[in-house]
Amino acid sequence: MINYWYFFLFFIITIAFSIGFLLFVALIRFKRNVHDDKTFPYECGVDPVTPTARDTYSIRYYLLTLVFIIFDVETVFLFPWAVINDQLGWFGLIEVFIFILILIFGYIYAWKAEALEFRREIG
Amino acid sequence: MDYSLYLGQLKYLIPEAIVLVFALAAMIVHLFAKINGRRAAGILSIIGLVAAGISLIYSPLAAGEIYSETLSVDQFALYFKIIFLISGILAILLSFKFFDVEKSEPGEAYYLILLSIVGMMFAVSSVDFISFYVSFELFAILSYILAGIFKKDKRSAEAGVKYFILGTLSSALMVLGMAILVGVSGSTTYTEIAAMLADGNSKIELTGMLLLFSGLFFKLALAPFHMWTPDVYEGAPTPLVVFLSTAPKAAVFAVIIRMIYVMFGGFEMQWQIIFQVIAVITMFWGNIAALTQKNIKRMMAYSSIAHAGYIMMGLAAFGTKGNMAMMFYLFVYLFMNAAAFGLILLVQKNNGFGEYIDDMRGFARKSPLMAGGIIVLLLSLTGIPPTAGFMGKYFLFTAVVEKGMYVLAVIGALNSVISLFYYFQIGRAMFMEEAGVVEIIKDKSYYARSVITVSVIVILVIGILPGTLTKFASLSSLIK
Repeated sequence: MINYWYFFLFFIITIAFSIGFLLFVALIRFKRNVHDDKTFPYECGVDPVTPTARDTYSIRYYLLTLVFIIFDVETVFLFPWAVINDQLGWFGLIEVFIFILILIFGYIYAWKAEALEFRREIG
Repeated sequence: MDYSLYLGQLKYLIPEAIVLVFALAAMIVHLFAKINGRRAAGILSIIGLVAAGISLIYSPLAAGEIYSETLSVDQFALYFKIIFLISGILAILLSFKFFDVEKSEPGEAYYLILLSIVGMMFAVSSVDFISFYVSFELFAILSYILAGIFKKDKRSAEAGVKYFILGTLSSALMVLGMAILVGVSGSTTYTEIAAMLADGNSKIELTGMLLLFSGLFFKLALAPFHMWTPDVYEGAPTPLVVFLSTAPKAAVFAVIIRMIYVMFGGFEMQWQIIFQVIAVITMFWGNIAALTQKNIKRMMAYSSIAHAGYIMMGLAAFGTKGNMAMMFYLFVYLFMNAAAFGLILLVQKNNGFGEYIDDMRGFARKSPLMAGGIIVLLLSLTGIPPTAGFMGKYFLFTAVVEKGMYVLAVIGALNSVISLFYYFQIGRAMFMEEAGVVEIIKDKSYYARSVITVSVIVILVIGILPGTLTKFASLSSLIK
């Protein structure tokens, strides 16, 4: 168990930081400003609770989500490299940079193809 | 594990890297060019494919398996990589003409072809399920996009969606088969799986193998899995069909040869029978269904099913001779398909292309030289000397006969006779029927004409002097 002491340290710091941050905010905040939108649970811009299921939503939201997932999965691929980076050495570093470079080209494509424009003029 | 070797092993992947770099460069050119400057992306793509071909000749072959036994860069893979590069060049050249006439140029097609070639180049080198599946999906997903590249065009979009839904279904079957094999053997590497499979004939391993092959047979459009082919080939843009009907098929045949050679040697009794039955069904189905087609693209789709059946005979007669025959035929088939689909790009009808056999009436009077070339092509597709198609069928049939499968050889020959009827419907329409309203598209660029001419010359040269290709194919057919 003694080997895991730093895990508990991490645990304590996390709790201390969360409480400390809330206290800090409570000290410096100005006026209490209650608003409907502020008390609503946040769900990526889509209303989480609607009176009926037949609600309208922007289809472009899904395009953005697709782009987001691509770059989210990129992070997943970076983890295995980060774990054994010391063994892989220069080879690993070069490979990861090639990998990220190719994804940057994908980002440029998404940008130029206007996948990131949320409001596009239809004309 | 020693990872320091990995950096040095990058030198085996230079051709793939060149194709990838040119694909990304073509993408940037396409994105930032003006609407009529997109041709530059296509020219850059062709330069990339030629450069990769040159580097393929001079790049070293790896003695063993590289990157933790996931890739094997050998002569066998090299042969197929050359096929992919040629297929890409021919498809892009035909695309130039097609996009000119359609007056819209989706430049994505150029670099999607290059990227799917990268996937195929890795797939034929793969000796591990993970590297195989990733590279397989790379070219599979890109081929769905290529089929539906004209997203505003109803037929193209339909082809893309159909191909996508059926393709992902077959991929799922394939992954299930791979999961069973990995579950039984506890490894993803072909050689380690082979060590576990060698001793038993258990049902579960057989199930895994069959599911794996079903997914691959779908890509080859073999008979019980061929339903998507006519619809996709009819709807997809013609020059891209040239690519879709040659390069992925060659890649999947290469993958199957490698899998059988390394993994499924112990199951010879089982797969030999399966391959024979599938070859027979596929040949009959493709040839008989093609007889009634009026649309040349649909007819060529059924013809490509039948040709996959012929090549399947080589797989049933697996061995040095059978492999060599398959590889020879795949190379020849590439040029036959390019010329056959190029023919459609020559004839105009209602501001589009004449896709029906009736649209070819009177072609010989308008352009006798081209018509003569097309006759050579039709002879080659049927398998009549002195063409390359004859040599390809000759090698396939001798390989089959040598294994003692006489019935299969007779059925193959019978099917060649059936195919004569529908191929020469085109020839009859061109030469014998009243001159119709055929109008040959006039253009200054000669892209389609030059592709057909080069293909016909290659078909004739290989048909008369098959020595060099035979030597190269039999040298490459040995997997070490």
